[in-house]
Amino acid sequence: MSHGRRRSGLLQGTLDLLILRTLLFGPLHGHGIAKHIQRTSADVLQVEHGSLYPALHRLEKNGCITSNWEQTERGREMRLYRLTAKGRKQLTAEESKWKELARAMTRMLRTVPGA
Amino acid sequence: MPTNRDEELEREIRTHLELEAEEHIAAGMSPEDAHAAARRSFGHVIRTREDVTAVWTNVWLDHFWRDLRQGLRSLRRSPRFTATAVVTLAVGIGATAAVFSAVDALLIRPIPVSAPEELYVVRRAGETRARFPFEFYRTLNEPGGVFSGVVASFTFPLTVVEGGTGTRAKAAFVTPNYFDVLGVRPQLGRSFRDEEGDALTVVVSHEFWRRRFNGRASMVGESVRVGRQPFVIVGVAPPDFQGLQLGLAVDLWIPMAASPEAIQIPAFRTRVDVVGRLAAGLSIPTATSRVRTEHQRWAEGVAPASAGARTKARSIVLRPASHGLESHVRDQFRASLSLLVGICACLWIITIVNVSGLLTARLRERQREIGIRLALGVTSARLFVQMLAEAVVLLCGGVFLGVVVAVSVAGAIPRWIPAWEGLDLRLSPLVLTITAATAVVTALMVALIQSATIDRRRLLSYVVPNVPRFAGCRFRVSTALVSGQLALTIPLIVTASLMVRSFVNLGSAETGFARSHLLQIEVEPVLVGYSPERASAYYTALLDRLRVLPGVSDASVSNGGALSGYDGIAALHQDGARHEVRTIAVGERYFSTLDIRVLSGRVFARRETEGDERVAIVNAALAGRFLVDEETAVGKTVTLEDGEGGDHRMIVGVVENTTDANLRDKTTPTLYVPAGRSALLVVHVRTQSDSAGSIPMIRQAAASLDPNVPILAIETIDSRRRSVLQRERLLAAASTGIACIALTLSAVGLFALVSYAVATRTREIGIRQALGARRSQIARLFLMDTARPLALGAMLGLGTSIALARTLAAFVYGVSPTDSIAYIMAISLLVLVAAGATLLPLRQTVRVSASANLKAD
Repeated sequence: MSHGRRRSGLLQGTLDLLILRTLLFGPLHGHGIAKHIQRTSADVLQVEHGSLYPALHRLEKNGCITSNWEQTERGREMRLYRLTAKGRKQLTAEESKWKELARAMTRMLRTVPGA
Repeated sequence: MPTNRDEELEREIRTHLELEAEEHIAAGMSPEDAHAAARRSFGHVIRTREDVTAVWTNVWLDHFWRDLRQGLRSLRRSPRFTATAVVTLAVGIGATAAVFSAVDALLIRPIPVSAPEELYVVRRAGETRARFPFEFYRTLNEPGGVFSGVVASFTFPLTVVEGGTGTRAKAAFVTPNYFDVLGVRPQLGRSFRDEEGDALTVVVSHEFWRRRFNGRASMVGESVRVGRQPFVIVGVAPPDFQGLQLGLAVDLWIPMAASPEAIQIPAFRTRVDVVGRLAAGLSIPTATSRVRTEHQRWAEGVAPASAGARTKARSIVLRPASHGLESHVRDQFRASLSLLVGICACLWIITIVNVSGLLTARLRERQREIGIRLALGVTSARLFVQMLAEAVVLLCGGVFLGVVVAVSVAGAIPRWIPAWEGLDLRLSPLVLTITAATAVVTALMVALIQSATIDRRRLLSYVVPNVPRFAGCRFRVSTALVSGQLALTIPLIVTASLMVRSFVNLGSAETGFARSHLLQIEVEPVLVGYSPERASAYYTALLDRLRVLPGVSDASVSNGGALSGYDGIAALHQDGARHEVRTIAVGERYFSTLDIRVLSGRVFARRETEGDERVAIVNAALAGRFLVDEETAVGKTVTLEDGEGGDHRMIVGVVENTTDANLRDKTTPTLYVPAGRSALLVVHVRTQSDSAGSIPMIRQAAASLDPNVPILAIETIDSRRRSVLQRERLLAAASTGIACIALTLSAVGLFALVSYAVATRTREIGIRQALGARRSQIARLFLMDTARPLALGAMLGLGTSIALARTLAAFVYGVSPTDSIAYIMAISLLVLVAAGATLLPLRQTVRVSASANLKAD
């Protein structure tokens, strides 16, 4: 019902960020995106594969990515997702927001009580 | 390539699972384990499908559509309730739509020309319908002038003869560029060419063409006799174009060049209305000053010696003409329509309250269902949307039926109010939009009120059976609603009673002249080519013939007055001041024919009415206002303005006051002068008995004198009075109808409420019966309960009526807006209806035995 809940423990915006970042390196299909996130984060980020697709559709509705059905080398017909110019801008924005958040968290965790 | 989004998603998911399984198999898993692992990593497929669908669909819209269907189903299960609700809504909405279509046709809609907002009419400040000489128009029609296109027109009644029969027609004499500048294209044939050669041509209106020539396309190119000459019909105007003035439906348009030779019109009639489109980029102030300069220059060119050309020019103004020229009908009915809109608004509110009450009463059967829904987690917002959906379904039915009602009512009104003849009361897009908006607001209000009556907390606790069934509704809101309905009904009843009595009073008001046995004949020999002298002789000869007819006691002529619809004005110079007074030119024996009492002095002698004697008769009001007193008025001199030295007349008599054209005022100062050799007169005939019976005889007498002169109208004074009172008749009938509807709705609302209360308290009634209470005692109990909202409603209603008294004062006649009889009647009616509505639902229950009532749930 509520679209914000994710069993993976990730916030909705974070998943969007991961997808956009993945697509920065080139068009990819849904399964490939899932594998990339898994590999690159060294299995730390456990994303339910099924939760990718609603996120992909949402991003497509917002115009951050586009999709096309294409034939792969192995003869399979797969849907490939690509980043758009708007998506690139969105990615940059989300990245800087995330970095700020990370800096803030680091500062919080470094402070010593009483100092 | 898969086309459906759902199919595509299925393919994607399938491919995804296959790829994942392949990887696991490549890593050494068995195919079954691989597929299971793939599915585990994926998560819930169904959930994915739902979430993807939710991204692309509007969740709220989807749910609302489902609610609509659910509402329709539940309404179909209770047909009687649905029918009542739909009819109630139809009445409220239909009445609103009908009144709005009248408001639109009369006040809002611009004339059907292109870009009506660009049109301006040249007038003078302080005068409603100042006209200008044609030569002045010509100076404005120069290229490069103030207007990019300017037309001139004036109207005149004419007779059209075709195939041996003559019809009266309203003709507009226009400049040849009339249709082009206005952007009106004829539906058949053409408009006028810009040459002089087009003089004897005519464009007919759609209505006239349909009515008179049966819509025969062959009429274009045919020749008909208009006035004295044959004219060729060159075109037919489009269906909705009726000229520039609302309420004056033009039948013929004739080039102005045709006027002098072909049709004889008195010189004072050839001043024109000037209407034009401003040249591009010109602002109103600039244009106005340029027109003024033009007028000054032209006036000085015409009469270099006369002073005051500059002052005369300065009074010129440009008024917007998007609604055409000034309209008598619009001014006459503007206030009445506003009152009707107010009355309809009250009816609309009553309708909302009523339907809300009906729906609320219906809730009692659905309390458990709603309680369950609430327990399952439906929010109040969702519940509201569900009620809204039901209200929308009801309103669709109500609007449909209401529009049907409105169309039939709107179609019937112009037939009933002659002044609105030719008015197009269709439901224009504007009216339909307003109706739809009204419906939407109604649905929202109904749903809101219903939500307010649901007590959420209590409902939740009553999901379990074997608990009192009706505890979950707030009674007080329903009672307040009924009070509100009653409160609004009272001003409606009071207004209706006042309007009816005003109408009756006006109908029987003292006119100062004969109330019955009087006929007015409109016959104009000049229209068929009589010269003024011959016309004057015609009237004299006609009078001689009429006076000897059996049953006729006397006959006379005048140029207006006595509800004829014509009223002349002259300027009186008295004591150094200028006053405009009503002036009527009368023939011999006028006062005896009309039975107007002579207070002092005498009436005109025969030689005075035929000649040019400088005499006058005044009425008591004029004598009292301007001549010190009526006793000594005889012998005094009055001076009338005539453009030269002044027309001095000696007063030979004083007569009693007569009513003005509206039947309301009997104190208008009036001056009577001899008709002399006037060529345009109304003939009055006094009969000894029923005047309508003499009409055929009179027609014959006129025909025997000259059959070529058509009688344009013969009306009894009663018929004239009815014409004059159209507006009052409309108000009386409409307000009474609406008051009856409101009373019925209030009764129904109260009935529903009491039925509900009785059903709630059936067990209590059973107990009382078992304890020995009589029927009258139980009845009294419920009557007392009704008395409270009734008293509250009555007080509010009376207060509202008194507050509105000042608004109503402009409409009433012969009765005060705070007249006690009206209020007493309203209250008594309400009490009667309330008592009936309370006792009726009770009847069934008190007849049943106590034990049956005790067993009720």
